[in-house]
Order: sequence, then C-alpha cells, then structure tokens
Amino acid sequence: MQSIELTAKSADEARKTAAEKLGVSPDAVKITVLEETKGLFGKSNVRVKAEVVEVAAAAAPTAKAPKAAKAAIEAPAPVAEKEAAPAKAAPAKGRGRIGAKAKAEPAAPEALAAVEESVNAAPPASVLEAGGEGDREPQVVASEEDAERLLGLVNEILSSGSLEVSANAKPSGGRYVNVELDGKDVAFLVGKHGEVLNALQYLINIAAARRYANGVRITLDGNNYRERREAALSALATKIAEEVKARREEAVLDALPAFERRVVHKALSTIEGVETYSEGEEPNRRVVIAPAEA
Amino acid sequence: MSYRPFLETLIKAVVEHPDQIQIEEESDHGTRTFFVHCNPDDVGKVIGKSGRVVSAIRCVVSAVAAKSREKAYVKIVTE
Repeated sequence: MQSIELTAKSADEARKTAAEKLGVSPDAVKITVLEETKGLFGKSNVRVKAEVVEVAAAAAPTAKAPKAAKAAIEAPAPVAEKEAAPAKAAPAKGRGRIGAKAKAEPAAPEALAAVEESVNAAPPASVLEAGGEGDREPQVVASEEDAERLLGLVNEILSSGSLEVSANAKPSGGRYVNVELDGKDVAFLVGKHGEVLNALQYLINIAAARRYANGVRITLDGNNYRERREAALSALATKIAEEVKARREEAVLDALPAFERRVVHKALSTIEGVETYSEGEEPNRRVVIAPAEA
Repeated sequence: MSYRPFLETLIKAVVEHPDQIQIEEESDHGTRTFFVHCNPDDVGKVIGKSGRVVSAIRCVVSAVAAKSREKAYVKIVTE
C-alpha cells in the first residue's frame, strides 16, 4: 500500500529520498523507473515509483485516484506538494517551463465544475471540459454506434497518411468518444506539448460535425499523453506556486490551451496563499500565478 | 512515402465540396509545398476563423512530413 512516485537525479538518489519519505530503510524500498530523461548539461532526471516491499500488500495499485469528487479535488494538491519539495529550485525568473517531470496523482476528470474556467471554454475541447458544458445543453450521449462511426473517420484519415498507428474508440458516457491511438508513429501525432494531437483532434471534430452533426465529439489520446500531461501540469503548477509564495512575486506560465489552463487553476485552487487568473488572448492566453492579497 | 493523400483526406473532410479539391505539389529537396485549390465557397472553411483550420492542417501535415524528414508547406490558393 505504501507507495509514492517521485523524481530525482538518479535511481540511487530516488531510493534514498523515497526511503526517507516512507520512513523505512533504503533496502526495504523497491524502485521502479517510470521515466528517464536526459537533459542538457548533464541534468538527467528519473521518475520512479517507490514501494515498500516488506509490507505484504505493497503491490496494490496506486495509479488511479478514487472517482469521488472530493478525492479528486483533494488528491492532486498534497501529492504534488510532496513531489515539489525535492525538486530543485526552478529558473530564477518567474516564467516557468512546462514539462516538469514530477508526477501527481491523476484526478478524476469529470469532477470539478466548481473551479472551471468557464469564461474561455474554447472549442478544442477535451474530455476535461465536459462537466460544465453538458449540464446546460440537452444531454448528448455518445453511443457505441457513434464510437464506431468516429473511429471509422479517424482510421480513414490515419490510413491515408500511411502511418503505423491503430486507433481504439470507446464512448465516455457523455457526449465524448475517447479515441486512443497506439503504435509506432504515435509520437509524431502527439508532437511537442500535444500540439499535433490537439490540432488533429480539432480537425476530426470539424469533420465529424460536418458529417454527422449530432453533437458527439471526440477526444484523441496517444500513449496516455493526456493523463501524463495533466499530472505534469499540476506538478509544475504546484512547484511554481511554492516559488511564488516564497518570492512574493507573480509568475506567468507558457501559453496553454483552455483545458490545460483549467488543470492549472484546479491544481492550485486548494493551495493557500496563491491565486490564479488568465490573461492574454487565445491562443496566447497564459495562466498567471500571483501571491494572494493578504 | 507521400503524405499528399493524407493532406487531401484532411481537407476533404472539412469542406462542403470535396470533389472540387485540387492539390498541386512542388518539391525541392527536403521541402514540399502544396497548393490547394478549392471551391471559392470553401476557402473560408479551409482557412477557418483567424486561420485556425489551416494552422491545424499545417501542424498535422508537418508532423507527418517530419516522419520522412521533410518540411511541408500548405498554401491555400485564392485569387
């Protein structure tokens, strides 16, 4: 049951840190490397999952947060905070870089209408937006048949590009059909910060709206990118927030699409001492993390 | 390994008159330029509000082009 995820400069260091955090000896910790990045200037990072092995139930699944709304809202913050601590102090100026490797517990996407950045719930929708919008409009529920049809459309587009990618669709329960991409060429289709994935999703939604016009939309995902991105974003946001608190000056994040900004707002809504808002115009709207007025 | 059919499918998927789409291609080591001709009524569809649709098309096509280590440019021809 005891298991955490964290980031460190090497697997050995991760073991030490994990042991400290879990309050056991380094030998009792089992380290699984989840991701390894080689940075510039020899700054490599490993993201690991650490489990206490002596406890019998150690291998229990940890990835999924409970779907309950409360848990979803509370989970990201504390976990992310823990992760943020060992991470090195970020670049001196406030502007942070997206792509921190720390990992927070993924929250249930449907929960949280409360913190929604409803003002700019812009078109390239992801499943993350579903909550607020679906309530107002007459409910459209994607059926298996819709999923099949949209999958056909996706395959039609992908096959014309002779890409080695396979797609899988399933209705999400709402008006969204989630399409998962898999295969050798997925990396190309995700692109830097999911740019390509978002663009393709946008185009497919236009095509789907033209052909079927029944209000069903798709969300595209490849290699679990969306989930990883959400985790990375909340972790980054938490880290920057700590810095904002310490330095008492605001920080501006890189431009993000609406649903990613939402992830940031959401992650920081539970943290005392900072407030967030967005400024700028789409597609260059950025989240600003500011120290709360005392 | 051409990605021209890919571009064609993408564009045809967003317009009202897919049969009137014509694509010319020019290639010059490592770069390919596509000139897209479409029905005048469809120009708006292909370009989109503030060029959002073309930008998305360019983004996706460039990604696919990157697979064959090429650069791709997409131009929508309007008179």
